[in-house]
Amino acid sequence: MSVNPAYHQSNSRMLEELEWVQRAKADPEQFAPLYKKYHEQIFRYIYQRMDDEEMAFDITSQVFMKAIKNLHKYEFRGVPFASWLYRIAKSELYQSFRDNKAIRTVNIDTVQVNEFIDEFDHEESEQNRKRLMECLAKLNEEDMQLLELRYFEKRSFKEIGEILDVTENNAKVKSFRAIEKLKKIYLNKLQ
Amino acid sequence: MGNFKINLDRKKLTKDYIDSKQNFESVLTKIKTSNSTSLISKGWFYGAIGFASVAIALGIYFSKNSQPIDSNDQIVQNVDYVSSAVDVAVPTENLNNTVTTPTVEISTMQTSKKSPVAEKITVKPKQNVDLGEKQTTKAKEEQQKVEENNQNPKTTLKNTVPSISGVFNGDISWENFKNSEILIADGYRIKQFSLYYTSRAGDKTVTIDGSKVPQNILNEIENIGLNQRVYVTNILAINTDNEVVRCLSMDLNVKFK
Repeated sequence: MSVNPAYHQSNSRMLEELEWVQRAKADPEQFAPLYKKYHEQIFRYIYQRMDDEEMAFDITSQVFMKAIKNLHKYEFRGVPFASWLYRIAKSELYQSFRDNKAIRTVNIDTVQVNEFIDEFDHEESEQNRKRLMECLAKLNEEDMQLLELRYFEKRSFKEIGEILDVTENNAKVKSFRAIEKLKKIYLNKLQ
Repeated sequence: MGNFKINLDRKKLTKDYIDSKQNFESVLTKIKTSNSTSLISKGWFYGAIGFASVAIALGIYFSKNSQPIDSNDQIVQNVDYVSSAVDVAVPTENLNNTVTTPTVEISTMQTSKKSPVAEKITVKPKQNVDLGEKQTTKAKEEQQKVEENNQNPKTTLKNTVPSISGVFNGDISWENFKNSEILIADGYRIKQFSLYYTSRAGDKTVTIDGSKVPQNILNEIENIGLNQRVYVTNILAINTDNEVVRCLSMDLNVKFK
Protein backbone atom coordinates (compact mmCIF):
# COMPACT_ATOMS: atom_id res chain seq x y z
CA MET A 1 0.00 0.00 0.00
CA SER A 2 1.35 3.45 -0.89
CA VAL A 3 1.77 5.86 2.00
CA ASN A 4 0.82 9.53 2.11
CA PRO A 5 4.13 11.47 2.00
CA ALA A 6 2.76 14.73 3.42
CA TYR A 7 3.51 13.81 6.99
CA HIS A 8 6.99 12.38 6.63
CA GLN A 9 9.79 14.75 7.35
CA SER A 10 13.53 14.78 7.67
CA ASN A 11 15.14 15.69 10.97
CA SER A 12 16.28 19.03 9.57
CA ARG A 13 12.66 19.86 8.64
CA MET A 14 11.50 18.95 12.14
CA LEU A 15 14.18 21.15 13.67
CA GLU A 16 13.16 23.97 11.39
CA GLU A 17 9.60 23.50 12.65
CA LEU A 18 10.83 23.55 16.21
CA GLU A 19 12.49 26.87 15.54
CA TRP A 20 9.19 28.23 14.20
CA VAL A 21 7.46 26.95 17.31
CA GLN A 22 9.98 28.65 19.59
CA ARG A 23 9.55 31.91 17.72
CA ALA A 24 5.74 31.58 17.82
CA LYS A 25 5.87 31.03 21.57
CA ALA A 26 7.34 34.52 21.88
CA ASP A 27 5.19 36.11 19.19
CA PRO A 28 1.96 34.44 17.91
CA GLU A 29 2.38 36.15 14.53
CA GLN A 30 5.41 33.95 13.96
CA PHE A 31 3.05 30.96 13.82
CA ALA A 32 2.19 31.88 10.20
CA PRO A 33 4.59 29.37 8.52
CA LEU A 34 3.15 26.51 10.60
CA TYR A 35 -0.38 27.60 9.76
CA LYS A 36 0.46 27.74 6.08
CA LYS A 37 2.12 24.35 6.17
CA TYR A 38 -0.55 22.45 8.04
CA HIS A 39 -3.82 24.20 7.18
CA GLU A 40 -4.68 21.87 4.31
CA GLN A 41 -3.73 18.68 6.16
CA ILE A 42 -5.76 19.57 9.22
CA PHE A 43 -8.74 20.70 7.13
CA ARG A 44 -8.73 17.45 5.14
CA TYR A 45 -8.52 15.41 8.36
CA ILE A 46 -11.57 17.24 9.73
CA TYR A 47 -13.59 17.37 6.51
CA GLN A 48 -13.00 13.64 5.98
CA ARG A 49 -15.02 13.06 9.15
CA MET A 50 -17.91 15.45 8.63
CA ASP A 51 -20.38 16.68 6.03
CA ASP A 52 -20.49 20.41 6.52
CA GLU A 53 -17.68 22.10 4.58
CA GLU A 54 -18.09 25.53 6.22
CA MET A 55 -18.08 23.99 9.64
CA ALA A 56 -14.94 22.04 8.74
CA PHE A 57 -13.20 25.33 7.90
CA ASP A 58 -14.44 26.84 11.18
CA ILE A 59 -13.15 23.90 13.19
CA THR A 60 -9.83 24.14 11.36
CA SER A 61 -9.55 27.76 12.50
CA GLN A 62 -10.47 26.67 16.02
CA VAL A 63 -7.69 24.09 15.95
CA PHE A 64 -5.08 26.71 15.07
CA MET A 65 -6.46 29.12 17.64
CA LYS A 66 -6.18 26.47 20.33
CA ALA A 67 -2.70 25.54 19.14
CA ILE A 68 -1.47 29.14 19.34
CA LYS A 69 -3.10 29.68 22.73
CA ASN A 70 -1.63 26.51 24.17
CA LEU A 71 1.70 26.66 22.42
CA HIS A 72 3.48 27.24 25.73
CA LYS A 73 2.41 23.70 26.74
CA TYR A 74 3.88 22.10 23.60
CA GLU A 75 6.94 19.96 24.14
CA PHE A 76 9.05 18.65 21.29
CA ARG A 77 9.17 14.84 21.43
CA GLY A 78 11.02 14.13 18.23
CA VAL A 79 7.85 13.86 16.14
CA PRO A 80 6.41 16.33 13.64
CA PHE A 81 4.42 19.23 15.03
CA ALA A 82 1.47 17.92 13.01
CA SER A 83 0.85 15.07 15.46
CA TRP A 84 0.06 17.65 18.16
CA LEU A 85 -2.22 19.51 15.77
CA TYR A 86 -4.03 16.28 14.84
CA ARG A 87 -4.73 15.60 18.50
CA ILE A 88 -6.21 19.07 18.93
CA ALA A 89 -8.19 18.56 15.72
CA LYS A 90 -9.61 15.28 16.98
CA SER A 91 -10.66 16.87 20.26
CA GLU A 92 -12.27 19.86 18.53
CA LEU A 93 -14.02 17.63 16.03
CA TYR A 94 -15.65 15.46 18.67
CA GLN A 95 -16.56 18.54 20.68
CA SER A 96 -18.33 19.87 17.59
CA PHE A 97 -20.24 16.57 17.18
CA ARG A 98 -21.39 16.85 20.79
CA ASP A 99 -22.32 20.53 20.53
CA ASN A 100 -24.22 20.18 17.27
CA LYS A 101 -25.55 16.68 17.93
CA ALA A 102 -24.15 15.82 14.51
CA ILE A 103 -23.49 12.28 13.36
CA ARG A 104 -19.96 11.21 12.56
CA THR A 105 -19.40 10.87 8.84
CA VAL A 106 -17.09 8.57 6.92
CA ASN A 107 -16.13 9.50 3.39
CA ILE A 108 -14.99 6.70 1.17
CA ASP A 109 -14.26 6.13 -2.52
CA THR A 110 -15.47 3.24 -4.65
CA VAL A 111 -11.80 2.39 -5.23
CA GLN A 112 -11.21 2.02 -1.50
CA VAL A 113 -14.34 -0.11 -1.08
CA ASN A 114 -13.12 -2.35 -3.87
CA GLU A 115 -9.73 -2.69 -2.16
CA PHE A 116 -11.45 -4.05 0.93
CA ILE A 117 -13.59 -6.44 -1.11
CA ASP A 118 -10.42 -7.67 -2.87
CA GLU A 119 -8.76 -8.20 0.49
CA PHE A 120 -11.73 -10.33 1.57
CA ASP A 121 -11.39 -12.37 -1.70
CA HIS A 122 -14.78 -11.41 -2.98
CA GLU A 123 -16.10 -10.18 -6.27
CA GLU A 124 -16.34 -6.40 -6.83
CA SER A 125 -20.07 -6.04 -7.31
CA GLU A 126 -22.58 -3.35 -6.44
CA GLN A 127 -24.22 -5.69 -3.95
CA ASN A 128 -20.92 -6.44 -2.19
CA ARG A 129 -20.03 -2.72 -2.09
CA LYS A 130 -23.37 -1.94 -0.44
CA ARG A 131 -22.86 -4.79 2.00
CA LEU A 132 -19.38 -3.59 2.93
CA MET A 133 -20.63 -0.07 3.56
CA GLU A 134 -23.31 -1.42 5.89
CA CYS A 135 -20.61 -3.35 7.73
CA LEU A 136 -18.38 -0.26 8.02
CA ALA A 137 -21.23 1.65 9.65
CA LYS A 138 -21.41 -1.03 12.33
CA LEU A 139 -17.81 -0.65 13.49
CA ASN A 140 -17.01 1.14 16.69
CA GLU A 141 -15.28 4.53 16.72
CA GLU A 142 -11.83 3.24 17.55
CA ASP A 143 -11.79 0.64 14.78
CA MET A 144 -13.21 3.08 12.28
CA GLN A 145 -10.57 5.63 13.18
CA LEU A 146 -7.81 3.11 12.56
CA LEU A 147 -9.24 2.00 9.21
CA GLU A 148 -9.68 5.61 8.14
CA LEU A 149 -6.14 6.58 9.04
CA ARG A 150 -4.59 3.48 7.53
CA TYR A 151 -6.71 2.55 4.51
CA PHE A 152 -8.59 5.72 3.51
CA GLU A 153 -5.94 8.30 4.29
CA LYS A 154 -2.97 5.98 3.55
CA ARG A 155 -0.95 6.91 6.62
CA SER A 156 2.02 4.94 7.88
CA PHE A 157 1.81 3.02 11.16
CA LYS A 158 4.42 5.38 12.60
CA GLU A 159 2.23 8.36 11.83
CA ILE A 160 -0.91 6.62 13.12
CA GLY A 161 0.96 5.87 16.35
CA GLU A 162 1.98 9.50 16.72
CA ILE A 163 -1.52 10.81 16.05
CA LEU A 164 -3.19 8.33 18.42
CA ASP A 165 -0.35 8.55 20.95
CA VAL A 166 0.44 4.82 20.81
CA THR A 167 3.54 2.98 19.64
CA GLU A 168 4.05 2.16 15.97
CA ASN A 169 3.72 -1.54 16.78
CA ASN A 170 0.54 -1.02 18.73
CA ALA A 171 -0.91 0.96 15.83
CA LYS A 172 -0.05 -1.94 13.51
CA VAL A 173 -1.69 -4.55 15.79
CA LYS A 174 -4.79 -2.43 16.33
CA SER A 175 -5.19 -1.75 12.60
CA PHE A 176 -4.89 -5.46 11.86
CA ARG A 177 -7.53 -6.28 14.48
CA ALA A 178 -9.84 -3.60 13.07
CA ILE A 179 -9.66 -5.03 9.55
CA GLU A 180 -10.22 -8.54 10.94
CA LYS A 181 -13.30 -7.29 12.78
CA LEU A 182 -14.65 -5.73 9.57
CA LYS A 183 -14.00 -8.95 7.69
CA LYS A 184 -15.84 -10.96 10.33
CA ILE A 185 -18.89 -8.67 10.18
CA TYR A 186 -18.80 -8.79 6.36
CA LEU A 187 -18.60 -12.60 6.19
CA ASN A 188 -21.35 -12.98 8.80
CA LYS A 189 -23.55 -10.79 6.64
CA LEU A 190 -23.02 -13.13 3.68
CA GLN A 191 -24.30 -16.14 5.58
CA MET B 1 -28.82 1.88 11.63
CA GLY B 2 -25.06 2.12 12.06
CA ASN B 3 -22.77 4.31 14.13
CA PHE B 4 -21.68 6.39 11.14
CA LYS B 5 -23.04 8.04 8.06
CA ILE B 6 -21.13 6.69 5.06
CA ASN B 7 -20.68 8.92 2.01
CA LEU B 8 -19.47 7.29 -1.18
CA ASP B 9 -17.43 9.24 -3.74
CA ARG B 10 -18.00 12.70 -2.31
CA LYS B 11 -16.62 15.47 -4.50
CA LYS B 12 -13.03 16.19 -3.53
CA LEU B 13 -11.89 19.71 -2.79
CA THR B 14 -8.82 20.96 -4.60
CA LYS B 15 -5.70 22.17 -2.84
CA ASP B 16 -6.12 25.63 -4.37
CA TYR B 17 -9.65 25.91 -3.04
CA ILE B 18 -8.59 24.91 0.47
CA ASP B 19 -5.60 27.25 0.36
CA SER B 20 -7.86 30.10 -0.73
CA LYS B 21 -9.71 29.70 2.57
CA GLN B 22 -6.56 30.24 4.61
CA ASN B 23 -6.90 33.31 6.81
CA PHE B 24 -4.25 33.54 9.48
CA GLU B 25 -5.14 37.15 10.25
CA SER B 26 -8.65 36.17 11.34
CA VAL B 27 -7.20 33.45 13.60
CA LEU B 28 -4.97 36.04 15.28
CA THR B 29 -7.85 38.49 15.60
CA LYS B 30 -10.05 35.83 17.20
CA ILE B 31 -7.28 35.03 19.68
CA LYS B 32 -6.92 38.69 20.61
CA THR B 33 -10.69 39.05 21.00
CA SER B 34 -10.99 35.92 23.09
CA ASN B 35 -8.07 37.03 25.27
CA SER B 36 -9.79 40.32 26.05
CA THR B 37 -13.06 38.62 26.99
CA SER B 38 -11.58 35.55 28.60
CA LEU B 39 -11.49 37.02 32.11
CA ILE B 40 -15.22 37.70 32.10
CA SER B 41 -16.08 34.37 30.56
CA LYS B 42 -14.17 32.31 33.11
CA GLY B 43 -16.03 30.79 36.03
CA TRP B 44 -13.27 31.41 38.52
CA PHE B 45 -13.59 35.15 37.89
CA TYR B 46 -17.16 35.14 39.19
CA GLY B 47 -16.17 32.70 41.91
CA ALA B 48 -13.48 35.09 43.11
CA ILE B 49 -15.90 38.02 43.11
CA GLY B 50 -18.47 35.96 45.01
CA PHE B 51 -15.91 34.80 47.53
CA ALA B 52 -14.64 38.34 48.06
CA SER B 53 -18.21 39.62 48.55
CA VAL B 54 -18.97 36.93 51.15
CA ALA B 55 -15.67 37.66 52.92
CA ILE B 56 -16.44 41.39 53.04
CA ALA B 57 -19.99 40.75 54.29
CA LEU B 58 -18.72 38.43 57.02
CA GLY B 59 -16.01 40.92 57.94
CA ILE B 60 -18.56 43.71 58.36
CA TYR B 61 -20.91 41.43 60.30
CA PHE B 62 -18.23 40.28 62.77
CA SER B 63 -16.70 43.73 63.17
CA LYS B 64 -20.14 45.07 64.14
CA ASN B 65 -20.79 42.28 66.60
CA SER B 66 -17.39 42.56 68.23
CA GLN B 67 -17.93 46.21 69.28
CA PRO B 68 -18.15 46.43 73.10
CA ILE B 69 -21.46 47.44 74.56
CA ASP B 70 -20.40 50.31 76.76
CA SER B 71 -22.96 52.98 76.09
CA ASN B 72 -26.68 53.28 76.29
CA ASP B 73 -26.89 54.10 72.56
CA GLN B 74 -25.38 50.77 71.60
CA ILE B 75 -27.78 48.92 73.85
CA VAL B 76 -30.60 50.68 72.06
CA GLN B 77 -29.11 49.68 68.68
CA ASN B 78 -28.90 46.04 69.69
CA VAL B 79 -32.44 46.06 70.97
CA ASP B 80 -33.53 47.46 67.61
CA TYR B 81 -31.92 44.48 66.01
CA VAL B 82 -33.98 42.05 68.12
CA SER B 83 -37.42 43.37 67.33
CA SER B 84 -39.17 46.00 65.35
CA ALA B 85 -41.50 46.93 68.18
CA VAL B 86 -39.19 47.89 71.04
CA ASP B 87 -39.54 50.33 73.86
CA VAL B 88 -36.35 51.18 75.68
CA ALA B 89 -36.36 52.73 79.11
CA VAL B 90 -32.96 54.08 80.00
CA PRO B 91 -32.50 55.55 83.48
CA THR B 92 -30.56 58.80 83.47
CA GLU B 93 -29.92 58.99 87.22
CA ASN B 94 -26.94 57.46 89.04
CA LEU B 95 -24.49 58.24 86.25
CA ASN B 96 -22.05 60.15 88.42
CA ASN B 97 -19.90 57.47 89.88
CA THR B 98 -21.74 54.22 89.37
CA VAL B 99 -22.84 52.94 86.03
CA THR B 100 -26.04 50.99 86.34
CA THR B 101 -26.74 48.62 83.52
CA PRO B 102 -30.04 49.97 82.29
CA THR B 103 -33.26 48.08 82.56
CA VAL B 104 -34.50 47.42 79.09
CA GLU B 105 -38.13 46.79 78.47
CA ILE B 106 -38.90 45.19 75.16
CA SER B 107 -42.40 44.92 73.79
CA THR B 108 -42.68 42.30 71.13
CA MET B 109 -45.73 41.54 69.02
CA GLN B 110 -46.52 37.87 69.21
CA THR B 111 -48.39 36.59 66.23
CA SER B 112 -50.85 33.84 66.99
CA LYS B 113 -53.76 32.36 65.15
CA LYS B 114 -56.26 34.18 67.35
CA SER B 115 -55.01 37.74 67.67
CA PRO B 116 -51.74 39.60 68.12
CA VAL B 117 -50.74 39.92 71.80
CA ALA B 118 -48.28 42.45 73.11
CA GLU B 119 -45.83 40.89 75.56
CA LYS B 120 -43.45 42.82 77.76
CA ILE B 121 -40.00 41.44 78.45
CA THR B 122 -37.91 43.04 81.15
CA VAL B 123 -34.14 42.64 80.98
CA LYS B 124 -32.72 43.13 84.47
CA PRO B 125 -29.13 44.16 85.20
CA LYS B 126 -26.98 41.33 86.52
CA GLN B 127 -24.79 43.50 88.73
CA ASN B 128 -23.65 47.04 89.20
CA VAL B 129 -19.98 47.91 88.78
CA ASP B 130 -18.31 50.75 90.59
CA LEU B 131 -16.51 52.80 87.90
CA GLY B 132 -13.99 54.37 90.26
CA GLU B 133 -13.05 50.98 91.68
CA LYS B 134 -12.67 49.60 88.16
CA GLN B 135 -10.32 52.41 87.12
CA THR B 136 -8.20 51.95 90.24
CA THR B 137 -7.85 48.22 89.60
CA LYS B 138 -6.79 48.86 86.03
CA ALA B 139 -4.18 51.42 87.05
CA LYS B 140 -2.82 49.03 89.67
CA GLU B 141 -2.51 46.26 87.10
CA GLU B 142 -0.65 48.52 84.70
CA GLN B 143 1.72 49.70 87.39
CA GLN B 144 2.38 46.08 88.34
CA LYS B 145 3.18 45.28 84.72
CA VAL B 146 5.66 48.16 84.49
CA GLU B 147 7.38 47.00 87.66
CA GLU B 148 7.61 43.46 86.30
CA ASN B 149 9.11 44.74 83.08
CA ASN B 150 11.69 46.71 84.99
CA GLN B 151 12.70 43.62 86.90
CA ASN B 152 12.92 41.39 83.79
CA PRO B 153 14.10 43.51 80.86
CA LYS B 154 12.63 42.50 77.49
CA THR B 155 14.60 41.38 74.49
CA THR B 156 15.76 44.42 72.61
CA LEU B 157 15.89 44.67 68.84
CA LYS B 158 19.29 45.54 67.60
CA ASN B 159 20.43 46.11 64.04
CA THR B 160 23.06 43.45 64.42
CA VAL B 161 23.74 41.73 61.13
CA PRO B 162 24.27 38.01 61.51
CA SER B 163 25.96 35.99 58.79
CA ILE B 164 26.86 32.50 57.78
CA SER B 165 30.25 32.29 56.16
CA GLY B 166 30.07 36.02 55.54
CA VAL B 167 26.68 35.86 53.82
CA PHE B 168 23.77 37.74 55.37
CA ASN B 169 21.39 37.78 52.44
CA GLY B 170 21.40 36.08 49.05
CA ASP B 171 23.28 33.16 47.53
CA ILE B 172 25.34 30.84 49.67
CA SER B 173 26.97 27.62 48.54
CA TRP B 174 25.79 24.38 50.13
CA GLU B 175 29.28 23.65 51.44
CA ASN B 176 29.50 26.99 53.25
CA PHE B 177 25.99 26.66 54.63
CA LYS B 178 26.65 23.14 55.85
CA ASN B 179 30.01 23.77 57.48
CA SER B 180 29.57 27.23 59.00
CA GLU B 181 27.60 28.62 61.89
CA ILE B 182 25.75 31.88 62.43
CA LEU B 183 28.10 34.63 63.54
CA ILE B 184 27.43 38.16 64.75
CA ALA B 185 29.35 41.04 66.30
CA ASP B 186 32.05 40.43 68.91
CA GLY B 187 30.82 40.01 72.43
CA TYR B 188 27.62 38.28 71.36
CA ARG B 189 26.81 34.65 70.83
CA ILE B 190 23.76 33.15 69.14
CA LYS B 191 21.35 31.68 71.66
CA GLN B 192 18.48 30.55 69.49
CA PHE B 193 17.03 30.94 65.99
CA SER B 194 14.20 29.68 63.79
CA LEU B 195 14.90 28.02 60.47
CA TYR B 196 12.43 27.79 57.62
CA TYR B 197 13.42 25.25 54.97
CA THR B 198 11.98 22.72 52.54
CA SER B 199 12.31 18.99 53.10
CA ARG B 200 10.80 16.03 51.28
CA ALA B 201 7.93 16.16 53.76
CA GLY B 202 7.22 19.78 52.80
CA ASP B 203 8.06 23.19 54.22
CA LYS B 204 9.15 23.23 57.84
CA THR B 205 9.96 25.82 60.47
CA VAL B 206 12.02 24.67 63.43
CA THR B 207 13.44 26.48 66.44
CA ILE B 208 17.08 25.65 67.05
CA ASP B 209 19.18 26.32 70.15
CA GLY B 210 22.76 27.33 69.45
CA SER B 211 24.34 28.82 66.38
CA LYS B 212 24.65 25.85 64.04
CA VAL B 213 22.07 24.05 61.92
CA PRO B 214 21.80 20.48 63.29
CA GLN B 215 23.02 17.60 61.15
CA ASN B 216 19.57 15.96 60.80
CA ILE B 217 18.18 19.15 59.23
CA LEU B 218 21.22 19.45 56.97
CA ASN B 219 20.56 15.87 55.88
CA GLU B 220 16.94 16.69 55.05
CA ILE B 221 18.01 19.66 52.92
CA GLU B 222 20.72 17.61 51.26
CA ASN B 223 18.26 14.80 50.48
CA ILE B 224 16.30 17.15 48.25
CA GLY B 225 19.55 18.32 46.68
CA LEU B 226 17.98 21.31 44.95
CA ASN B 227 18.68 25.00 45.35
CA GLN B 228 16.26 26.37 47.92
CA ARG B 229 15.32 29.46 49.88
CA VAL B 230 16.14 29.22 53.59
CA TYR B 231 14.96 31.83 56.07
CA VAL B 232 16.72 32.30 59.40
CA THR B 233 14.45 34.32 61.67
CA ASN B 234 13.95 35.12 65.36
CA ILE B 235 17.70 35.15 65.87
CA LEU B 236 18.34 35.76 69.54
CA ALA B 237 21.86 36.59 70.67
CA ILE B 238 23.21 37.09 74.18
CA ASN B 239 26.17 39.16 75.38
CA THR B 240 28.45 38.83 78.36
CA ASP B 241 26.03 40.88 80.52
CA ASN B 242 23.28 38.38 79.72
CA GLU B 243 21.50 40.99 77.63
CA VAL B 244 19.39 39.34 74.95
CA VAL B 245 19.12 41.02 71.55
CA ARG B 246 17.06 40.08 68.56
CA CYS B 247 19.05 40.27 65.31
CA LEU B 248 17.95 40.91 61.75
CA SER B 249 16.51 37.92 59.88
CA MET B 250 18.46 36.26 57.10
CA ASP B 251 17.15 35.31 53.68
CA LEU B 252 19.52 32.82 52.09
CA ASN B 253 19.46 31.08 48.75
CA VAL B 254 21.29 27.80 49.29
CA LYS B 255 22.93 26.73 46.04
CA PHE B 256 23.99 23.18 45.38
CA LYS B 257 25.75 23.97 42.11
